[in-house]
Order: sequence, then C-alpha cells, then structure tokens
Amino acid sequence: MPGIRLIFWGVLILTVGSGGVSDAPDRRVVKGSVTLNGKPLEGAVIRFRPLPEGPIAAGKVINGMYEITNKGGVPLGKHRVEIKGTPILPDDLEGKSLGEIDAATKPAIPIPEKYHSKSELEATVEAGKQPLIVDFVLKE
Amino acid sequence: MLFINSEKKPRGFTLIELLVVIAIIAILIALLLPAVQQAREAARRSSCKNNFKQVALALHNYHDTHRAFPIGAAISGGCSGYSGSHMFSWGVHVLPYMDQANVYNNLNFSGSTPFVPANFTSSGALAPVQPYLCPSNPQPDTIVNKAGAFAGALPNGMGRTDIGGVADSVSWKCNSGSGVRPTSVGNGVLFAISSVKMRDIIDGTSNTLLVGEITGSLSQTGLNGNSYTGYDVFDTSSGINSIDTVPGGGTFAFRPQGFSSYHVGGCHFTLCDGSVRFLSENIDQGTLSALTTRAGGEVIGDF
Repeated sequence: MPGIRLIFWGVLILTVGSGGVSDAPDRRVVKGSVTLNGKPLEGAVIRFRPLPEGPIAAGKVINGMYEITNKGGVPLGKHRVEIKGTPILPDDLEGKSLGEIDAATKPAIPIPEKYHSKSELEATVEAGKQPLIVDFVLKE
Repeated sequence: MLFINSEKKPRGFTLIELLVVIAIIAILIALLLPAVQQAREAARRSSCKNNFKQVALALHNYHDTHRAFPIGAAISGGCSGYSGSHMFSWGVHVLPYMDQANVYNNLNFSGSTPFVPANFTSSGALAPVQPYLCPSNPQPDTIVNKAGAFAGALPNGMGRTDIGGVADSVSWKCNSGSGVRPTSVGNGVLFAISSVKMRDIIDGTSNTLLVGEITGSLSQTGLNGNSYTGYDVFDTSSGINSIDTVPGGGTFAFRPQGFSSYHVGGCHFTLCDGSVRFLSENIDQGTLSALTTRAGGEVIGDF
C-alpha cells in the first residue's frame, strides 16, 4: 500500500505541475475618437506602445473612430500613443488594376511629429471589463 | 481448515487498489491526449522552420556569389526612388540557390513589367515553390486574385509565399500621391532596390532579422495573399499578428499587413546569420525594432 500511495501523490503533483505559464499580458479593449484641428481624422493607424517596454497594440482610425480589439486589446498600464496618417484606399477594390487603385488612393494625411515619431501623447489603461474610451484631440 | 485459510496470503487485488490503478491510467491518458493532438501542429511548425532555414541558406549563397543580399522589391515610379521597369522581388533572385534554377533560367527579364505577360501564363511559369509555403497555412498554393486588383503584378494563380523580407522598423512603403511603392529608404536588410552587404549589418548578423513569416486569407474574391515575385517586403511597426492579418483577428489587407503566422502565439523569423527563431507575438516592441534595424546600435537583451 505505501507504494500505491506514493504513485498517487506523484501523479497528483505531475498533474498540478504541468500547467503552462503564458507570456501574454492582461489586456483591455480600447476605443474612442480622434480629431485633427476639430475635424474627424479620415484615415490613420493608432499604436499603443507600453512604457517603459512591452508588446505594441495597434488599431485603424477610420473616419475619426478607432477600436483596438486585436489580441484582446491593449496591455494594461501606461502607454505612449502614436497616431500616424496612412494612405486611404478606396472602399471598393473590386475589378481595379494597380494603376486605378493608385489613382483612387488618397495620400496619407500629414500629422505633426509630436503625435507619432516624437509622440507626447500618453494614456493609462486600467483593468476593467467594459471597453475603455479614450479620445484624442490633435492640433497642428 | 479455517486456520490454514487465514495463514494464506490473499491473492489478487482489492477493489480500492483496482480503482486507484484505473484512476492513474485515466490521468495519464488525459495528460497524453492533448499532446498527441498537438503533435501534428508541432510537426508542421518544424517543417516550416526547415523552410526558413532553406531560404536563409539560399540568401547566404546568393550573397557569396553576388557579394550582397538581393534587392528586396522594385516597383518603379512614384516615390520608389527609381524609374524604369518593375523588377522581381528577392524571392525570384534566390531561386537558383534553392534548386529552382530551371524556373529562373526560363524567365524573361526584359520588358517594363516582368511579371506579366512575358513570364506568366495559366500554365504557370512562376509556379509555387515549396520552401516558400508554410504547411500550417490553410491557403491554396497559388494566390487568388479574381477581381483583378493589383493584377498587373500579382495575377490570379501566381505562386504564393509565406515568407517576406524585413524592410523597415517604421514603414516599408511610401506614397507621394501617385501610388504606394516599397520605399528605397529602409533600415532593415531587404527593401526596395536594396543592396545590403554583410558588412553593412553593423548591429551584428545574429541581432538582425532577414526574412519573416506572413499570411493571407481564405477569401475567394479580391487579392488574398502574397507572391514571392513582387512586393514581398514588410515592416515590424505594428508588431507580430497585428491588425490587417487573419491570425491577428482582423481581415487580410494586402498593403498594410505585417508579419504573422497560423502557428499559435507568434511567427518564424530568419536572422542574418542564418538561424531561425520563433518570436512571440508578445515580444517587446523595442526589441523587435532593434532586431529589425541593421545599424541602429541598440543593445538587445534576451529574445
């Protein structure tokens, strides 16, 4: 009987000890609006880069609205926020050639460097179940 | 009689002992079954890793011959930094170094657009090349481009790829108003009309990314993937498995996409020294940027 008891405890420890540890941080969905000089920003990419360091979270700004749901949202904590204009593709790409798409693509809206490569924007994401709403007001 | 019976040791197992043995077997099976189901994906991942190694060796052999890594991409005009004809991406230039010399020798490199029609017919001159395809990717071996968007460079039925060059840490493309082009100013190794030599990689070949894993979508309309013939360079600005990729939970978008894979939790990268690493999708963005740049001077910790 002591042998069987030993096996029992061994299996129990093995079962409990086998649980994996994930490197994924806790996240939360973040959404809101982005305006440039009072007008909704037509097309851009918004990135939340954790301070001091961590995995980046990105989302698309379309007609002044954004929502970051990718991988479960933005990691909790303090972030440097970068907003950068991207070329605005036409809604309907069907049946268009490369040249036609290029002609219909609007160039990226220039956004001052203080909002992307030298960003001064910051946001803090706290734990919660509802999506966090963060609005950004950009001025040239 | 009674006395003799009690002297005898009982033969066989009690009910409790049997139950314990059955419980142990049940626990062992419960432990083993998920592992068996993961074995197939693990095998596909190993196979994919091997593909990356093959491509790394091909790029190194190209470097040995030409004294530089091949051009990343070359779509001329606009803000691309050069005029003239479009040219093939790095994926075509390394074909002779991965046992595909016959495909390469049959190509017609003259003409303003080498992709079509000189080199591409429905019979498939630029057919799928096995090392460019990840076994975990559920897409067919050729790209779907039914609607005709980008058909000048990426026609329906052209060989697909799951491996893209690492061009820049900020953006692989530029747009001057006359169209999006791969930019010729990249801080990575494979970008538009690039000719990076091993000695240009000041950060060290074991600290700089060369190629990484990309994906497409299962959509049967529009453009659903990437080809090794044109474009095929990307940036790391939005991290791994990010927006505009299917594994990132978004919808595939050809131009803004970044690196991603159908393996769980990250994707493969080849470094300039030829080693293959699986990077987590939760990698620190600073580390990823530092790995992307060839001469950024950053100190990189463990990754």
